[in-house]
Amino acid sequence: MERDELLKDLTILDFMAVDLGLFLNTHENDREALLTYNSIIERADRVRQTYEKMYGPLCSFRSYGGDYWRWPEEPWPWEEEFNFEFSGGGEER
Amino acid sequence: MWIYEKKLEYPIKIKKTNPRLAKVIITQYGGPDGELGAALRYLSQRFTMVTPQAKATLNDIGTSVSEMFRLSPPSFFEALYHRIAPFEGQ
Repeated sequence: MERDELLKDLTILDFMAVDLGLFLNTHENDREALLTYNSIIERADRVRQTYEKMYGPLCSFRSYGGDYWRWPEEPWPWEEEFNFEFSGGGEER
Repeated sequence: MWIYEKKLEYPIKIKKTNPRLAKVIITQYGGPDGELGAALRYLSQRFTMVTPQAKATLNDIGTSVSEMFRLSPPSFFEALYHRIAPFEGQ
């Protein structure tokens, strides 16, 4: 799988997890929300592992270091080339 | 503690430059009612909350709101201005 695709999947899953986490703060007995939350965390874990194995660590003190230290590798998230394109998003400058 | 992850919570793509919009957004960012102030308020308010739900939620939204500071303001506003309009004070 390509980097853009993996990153997009991970972004989507993490975004859902953040939202469900907020929901669960005030709905702790909602079984359905909790099950969904758990399944998203599981999926995100797998995508995160694949991404990191191929494209380097996402965190400087939680991720495995691999064969060589890739943390400072560019691009960084604030640089345009880091991020995936939304579908249908063309250059209009 | 907070943990930095080398990715964005929600990437955006700036397709068109818009200096007027840039001015509005920069106010939302650091102005008196902006996100910078909001993040600090949420994170301070959590200390005086009574219920665990309120503590957790203020902790989490204070964290989420801070997420926008992972945008690089210079590159963001440069993209929006596209080096045409010089920055003017509000």
